[in-house]
Amino acid sequence: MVLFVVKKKSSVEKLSEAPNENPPIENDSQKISEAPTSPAEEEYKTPLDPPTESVDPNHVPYLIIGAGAAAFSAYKAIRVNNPTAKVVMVTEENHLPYARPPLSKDLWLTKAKSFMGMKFSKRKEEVPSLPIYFEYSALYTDLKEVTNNKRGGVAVLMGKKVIKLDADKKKVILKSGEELTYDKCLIATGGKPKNLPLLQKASPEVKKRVNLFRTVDDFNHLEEVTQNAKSVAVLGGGFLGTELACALSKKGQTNGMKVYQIVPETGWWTKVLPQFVSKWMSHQVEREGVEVIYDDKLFSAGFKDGQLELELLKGRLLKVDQLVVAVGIEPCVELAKTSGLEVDNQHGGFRVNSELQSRSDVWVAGDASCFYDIKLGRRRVEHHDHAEVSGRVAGRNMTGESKPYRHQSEFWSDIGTNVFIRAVGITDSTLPTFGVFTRSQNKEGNTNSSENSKTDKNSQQISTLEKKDNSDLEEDLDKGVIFYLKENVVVGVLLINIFRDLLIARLVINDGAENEDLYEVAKLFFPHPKDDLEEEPTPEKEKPQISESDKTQDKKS
Amino acid sequence: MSSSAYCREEGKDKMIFTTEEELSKPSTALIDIDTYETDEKGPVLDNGEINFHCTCAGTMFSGPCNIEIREFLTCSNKDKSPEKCMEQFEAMFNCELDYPEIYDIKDKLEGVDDKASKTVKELDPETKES
Repeated sequence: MVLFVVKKKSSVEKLSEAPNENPPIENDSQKISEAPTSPAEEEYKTPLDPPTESVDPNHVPYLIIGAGAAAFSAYKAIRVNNPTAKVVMVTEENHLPYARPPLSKDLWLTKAKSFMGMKFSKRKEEVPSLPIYFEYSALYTDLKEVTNNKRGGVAVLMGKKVIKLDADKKKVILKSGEELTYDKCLIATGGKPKNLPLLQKASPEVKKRVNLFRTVDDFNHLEEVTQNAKSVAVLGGGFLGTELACALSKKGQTNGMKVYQIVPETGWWTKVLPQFVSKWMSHQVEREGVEVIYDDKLFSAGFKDGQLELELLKGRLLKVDQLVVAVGIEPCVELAKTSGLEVDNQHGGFRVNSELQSRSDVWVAGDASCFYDIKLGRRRVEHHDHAEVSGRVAGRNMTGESKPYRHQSEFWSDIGTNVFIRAVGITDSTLPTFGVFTRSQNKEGNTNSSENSKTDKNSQQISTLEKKDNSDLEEDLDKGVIFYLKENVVVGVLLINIFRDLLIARLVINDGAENEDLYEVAKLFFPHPKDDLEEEPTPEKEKPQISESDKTQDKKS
Repeated sequence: MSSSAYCREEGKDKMIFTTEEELSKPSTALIDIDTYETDEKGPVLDNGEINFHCTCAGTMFSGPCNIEIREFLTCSNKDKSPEKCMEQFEAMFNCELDYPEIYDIKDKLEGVDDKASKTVKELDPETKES
């Protein structure tokens, strides 16, 4: 027993050197890392006591509120820096940590159910094991075991909600009345889908057929109710709405379900894409068999003859079996009110500094974090990659580092199987843009909507946009790069069907490319045949959620 | 730019259309890559040490056998010869046997009932790194 302790102790000391390879920016942190004061580490160095004696079952050295991507990567970072750390996540959901991106993407393209139990994997060679859970359940233990185990570990308290955080007394209160004290706490509560007031006030029959979409339960439910549905409408023209519309349309090809998408704006992702791209994108979505209704809003929702009757502002009436509402999320900041934490009025979310800290020993990462970006100013980002990396930075800071969050996070979206978009930085469509596109020789791909026209009975107003913009179709936007500019400095990069390492995009943003010829900068995204030995992957093969490891290797090369 | 290229403006948005061949020519852009700071480093740090925070590592360095895995990899990375680190390897392997799911060692143990009878030699250390 003694031998075991001694050996492990030395190993931890040895290992603890590694994480500090990136020298902490501030001197304070140096002190911290030289003389670790984290209780978990101290505890580790004491001889093994009988568990009954020493451990307070309600004390959690590292508490994480939430169990999404930010929470999971914080857990990993904490345990890397402190190999015996005791980490506890508290989540309202009844699921172990899982990744959300596949819920509106890959899961619909496969035999969804059969993959639900599989592990989230980023390794290319494991494509069949499509992504949901980050790790097998064997990784997790329960609260008691984790607090008693000298080697620490991670526990997930499921179906529990933290209703108050007391940063002075360093404790949280759960809805169930339980209290947990902590040494370091991360808030990673994420966001919850918004709904329309008119739907919240609707009759129970309507509500029963309205689907908000965020969680694995939401996925399962939507999967089930669209099994035998004849028609479904998706409300929202953002990423989630568009992905779901395409996904449901794919399903419609097998069960005959008709899919409408109601887009309040004049095109797709109008908040992100320059207008000409947004218009082009609309044709891509129609290609997936979705009937898209632009520039219209939901006016009323009723229930008649077993179906939803959706009346739109411009007068059109849609009869559908199900309605999916994808009109954005709002950060979960209920804790702010009860706990006296600051919320950002402009962006929403808990306000934190560039090290993601809200108060002493309290950090916020992921969707709920409104952080200070040293390069681009105050921001809040709702994307998976941001959640992962901000979670990791927060986790490292919880163990005594003081790293600023410098990562320019990326996001990606697949529109059906033809369009694959990735972006880094600030991609705000109100900014001036500079785009460089390849002229494609093959125009066949764009002769579309034969599927649409056969189902278009009462949609005269819908396709006006299509006709008007047919000229634009000659300009193939199948492949290209768009720079977003703020005072002639590049602050965002968006790639369409380009599969180059996003590090290039990050370098461009970091540099700003002021006074550069952006045409020359754009060339960086097109492989120069001589120096590019590796084959450019095809869109089908290369998905961003599985390319993480490859990407990092690319960076080295 | 070649003659096949053309430019267009739409309000605040400018765009250029050209051929892929043109765009694949060497760029004259001067992007400063030296001052770039990122947390997203690859599996190996600039100083040759293992990046334990690499996303590519999954839960290797945070899961239940994190200490053993780190000791083994640190040892073999230092000596560049895994065979000198058999002690560490054995410790890692014995730990991983308790978590066959996480460490994906079910297949490798196929047909072996008694885990004590399993010799470490049968496993190639290199394959453990994934």
